[in-house]
Amino acid sequence: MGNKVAIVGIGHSVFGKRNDVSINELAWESISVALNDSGLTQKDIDFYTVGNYGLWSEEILTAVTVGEYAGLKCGSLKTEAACASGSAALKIAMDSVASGNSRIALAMGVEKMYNSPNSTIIELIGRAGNYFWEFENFGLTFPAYYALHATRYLNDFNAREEDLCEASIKSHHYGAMNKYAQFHKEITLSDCMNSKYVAKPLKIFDSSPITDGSAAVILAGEEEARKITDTPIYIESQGSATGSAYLGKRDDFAGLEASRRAAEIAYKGAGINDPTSQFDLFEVHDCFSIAEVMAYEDLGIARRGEGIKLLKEHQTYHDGKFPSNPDGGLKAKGHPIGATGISQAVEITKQLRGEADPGRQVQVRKGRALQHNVGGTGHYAYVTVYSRRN
Amino acid sequence: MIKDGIFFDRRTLELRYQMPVKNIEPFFKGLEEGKIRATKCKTCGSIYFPPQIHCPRCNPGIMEWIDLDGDGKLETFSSIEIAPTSFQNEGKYIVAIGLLKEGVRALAWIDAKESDLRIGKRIRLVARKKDDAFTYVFNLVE
Ligand SMILES: [Zn+2]
Repeated sequence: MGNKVAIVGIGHSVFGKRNDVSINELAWESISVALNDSGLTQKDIDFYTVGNYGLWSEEILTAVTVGEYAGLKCGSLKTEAACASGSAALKIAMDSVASGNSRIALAMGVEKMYNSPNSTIIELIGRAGNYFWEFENFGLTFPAYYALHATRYLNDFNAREEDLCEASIKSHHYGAMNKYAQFHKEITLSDCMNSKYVAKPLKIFDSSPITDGSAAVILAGEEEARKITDTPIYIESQGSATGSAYLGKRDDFAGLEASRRAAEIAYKGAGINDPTSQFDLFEVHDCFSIAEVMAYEDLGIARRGEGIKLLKEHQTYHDGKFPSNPDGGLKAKGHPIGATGISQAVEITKQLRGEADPGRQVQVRKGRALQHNVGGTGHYAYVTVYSRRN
Repeated sequence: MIKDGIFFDRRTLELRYQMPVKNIEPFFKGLEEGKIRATKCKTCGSIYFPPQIHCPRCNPGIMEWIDLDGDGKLETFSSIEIAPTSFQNEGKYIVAIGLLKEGVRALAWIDAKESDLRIGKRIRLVARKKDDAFTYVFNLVE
């Protein structure tokens, strides 16, 4: 498949309730940093993509409004793959470079959720499944979709709500060390267990927050990348898959089938035959605690039903065997829907470059990292393999 | 109006969709008669719930309407504690997914006490009238 593509510049805004900025200003916070990080200017960019779900913010043509603000005039498009819109933006930009159509491309994601009240956000995000057959009559919410999986998981593997909380405790531990994160406070098991239910068995502290944020990466082909930077981070492969809209079309609620298919494609593309021994880092899609547990299993780093065990044994902390989300994950860093996929790519680049904050930098031995980004509840799945070596 | 650095929009938008259901009218007629209907491809035998009028496996296939028995077992459930705004007046509700006898699954509310629910329990999907509209709900089979 064409040229190998590398990340040559990264930028990340502070995540949180960003009522101090407009959506375009927020996008610029990461685009400007990514440009400076690569030493490139807008003139060098041949194509750009903007991951954005929108609806809760006023602009519809966000690729255009962001481009105008940021001085970008080349071809562009906005991508929608729900919470994986960022990975979709990365895919289009990557393909544009790999095909030779672009020398340099920019992929960014931005979300400005706090431009609407919480009630509107809950309403809009609950509709992100099969609207007619699920929402219209039965009022599903985003937590409810994952709660249906959590109920089944806890039942099948004899696990407890306390076990799920272990994922959130880890997330907040790392969020506290990440200056770009929305939450900077550690939480205890009782904080988590005493938080209110949103959709049983999931509680507030099992859930990622409403977040404003943006992230950007600049991509170049292999040869070009080496001229631009001493530390290109290569995208070795990407796998993607689409699950059913209607949850009733699924036959497994203790995992996400689309994640497994996307991982299989990504592993095949990058020559990964043992995901438990070939990665230094995993950035997994933990919009809810249960999502992180299922991710370990769907990606093949834990056997079915044993994801909980990795958490209890601290094997997915930054100094464990399978470091996962040392940036605080979606749970504590925040989950600005369309920006999340690019934020994960930024974190992987930082980590593989060895530039993460002390206390959360993983040891890079194999030079390889994995990104798992899910849209909806396994409605969209993108799995991407990165390496710092050629 | 600008307050604390925020410009409050003066324009509002009401979204209320107008969704074509002409081709699946037998489903809604069925509900009125107390039946839950699905479609079945005469060519390959696939059953579709929610009903759809084309069989993507056969392209084309010939579809017919069938009545589902309603009998099934509980696969998973969740009590929704924070409901969407448009469901604020519905009271507390529990969403469930059931595997029906015919091999298809349905998602609907389950009309039962939460403490009585266990995965694997026998349930029944039945039609019911609610606020002048016909819908369907799971009941626990004792
Ligand atoms: Zn057929």
